[in-house]
Amino acid sequence: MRKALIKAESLSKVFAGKNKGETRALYDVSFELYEGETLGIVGESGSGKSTLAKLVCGLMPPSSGSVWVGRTNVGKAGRKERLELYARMQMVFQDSKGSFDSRRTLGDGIGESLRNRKLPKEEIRRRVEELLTDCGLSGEFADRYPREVSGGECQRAAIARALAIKPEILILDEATSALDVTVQAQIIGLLKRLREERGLSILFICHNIALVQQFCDRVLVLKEGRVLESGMTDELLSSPQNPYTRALIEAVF
Amino acid sequence: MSRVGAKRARVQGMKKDYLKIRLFLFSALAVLLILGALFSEQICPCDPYGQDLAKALQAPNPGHLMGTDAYGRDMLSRVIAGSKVSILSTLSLVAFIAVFGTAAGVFCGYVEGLPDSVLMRISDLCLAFPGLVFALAVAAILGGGVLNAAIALAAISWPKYARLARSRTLEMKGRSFIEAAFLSGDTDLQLMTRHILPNIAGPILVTAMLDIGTMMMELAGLSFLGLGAQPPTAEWGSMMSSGRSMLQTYPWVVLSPGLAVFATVAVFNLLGDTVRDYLDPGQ
Repeated sequence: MRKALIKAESLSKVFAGKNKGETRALYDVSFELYEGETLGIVGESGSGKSTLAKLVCGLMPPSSGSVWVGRTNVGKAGRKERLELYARMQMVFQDSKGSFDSRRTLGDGIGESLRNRKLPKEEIRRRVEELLTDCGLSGEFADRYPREVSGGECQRAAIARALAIKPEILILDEATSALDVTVQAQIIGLLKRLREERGLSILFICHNIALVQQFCDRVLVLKEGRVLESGMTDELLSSPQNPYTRALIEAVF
Repeated sequence: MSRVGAKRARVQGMKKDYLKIRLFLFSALAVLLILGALFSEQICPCDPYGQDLAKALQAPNPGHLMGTDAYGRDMLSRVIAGSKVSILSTLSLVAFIAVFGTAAGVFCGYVEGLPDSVLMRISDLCLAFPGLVFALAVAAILGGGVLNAAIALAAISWPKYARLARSRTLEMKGRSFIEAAFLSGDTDLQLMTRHILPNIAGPILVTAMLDIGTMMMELAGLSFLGLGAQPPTAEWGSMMSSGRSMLQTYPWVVLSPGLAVFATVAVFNLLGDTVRDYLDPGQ
């Protein structure tokens, strides 16, 4: 059995509404992300994919259940544990431009995690340029502002930021969904190469089942906050058991 | 680019140039006023407190450009000396409430929960007092004086900044760049000061600029009522108050400080308007 890097145990999330009662975004979701694999999470809008990503990253606390990364309970990590946790696990957001502070340069954003770990300035600058080059941009992009670059370039910078502290786990929350098809293909190519070179384990959250097919080892289908089925990508896509999964596949192919 | 587009771009370019000229003009005037207030002792032609009853209530003349008051003091010198109290106390008042209110608002919006509820209810409480009544109460408890008048005004005007900063902070907190910074290991303080504050500073700055005029009027108003600066301190509000019985016979005693208030408030309001237009041209 391979080592599980992320262990999500019966996660639930309930949002308290102001007057229309509560909304349940996730019901009792459990899964594991094993070392070296890419797990795809598919589902339509409103299925709870993004909520799941935020819970796994500790950006919001779960209503019940827990996420374990190694021996750290993500929802209950203190400041010191968090620094260690986010050195192992990073996230790339859907809205690439919105994920950078519009008043700071891309280089500033990419170097933020290094700065918070007290690296010297010149070292940070050197590493930021190296990361940008590795992600298919030139070092000059470090001095650009988010509004001065294209969506694809910005997402490359976001990937560079996520990789800055050499994490082993990458969470991609619809990271390619806002990009047009050709740029999307380039970013997937980049991610494939980085996954190979750096031995990343990836949680790939996406509504596009075709992308999941070419990028993921294993798939988890989410609908209305519940896991419908999961399995190896090829098996699941060739012989889906659940009618919803079948409909989801037929909508694309 | 289409012809319509080109024309629109040209018009917008002209508007931007015009705005720049306005911004330069009004900030130059404001800086001039502030410098005048800072160096008022050096530029006063006569001693603003030197009484000479033989020269009392002279109409404006070459020796006394704004005439003299009932004690024979040179009005021009008193108006210049008064700018020190009026302008500098207004500026420090606005700076204080803007900084304090913003800090409270960012904190409330960031932490939410109980501290937020408590602070916001306190701000509601402060807003519930009518300004003048509150100032009267403060003056009754602490006594008159510019400082006490400023305290009364500060107590009822900080909630405006706190609310603005709080709502903008709540809006920012949901943005993914804040989440990304959190994942980069930023502490709460870093998130607030490095990322949230610079992104919400624009509207707060504009509010503060527009508030300078209002606050100056209110401070002068309180002094006029005898709750602010006390005679013989040269202050525009109290100068107008002491001359009000002579408005019909010796109008310059009231009009000189009145003109000073009018001109100064106008300059700071126009500057505030220009800064607002400059920061968000969409409106």
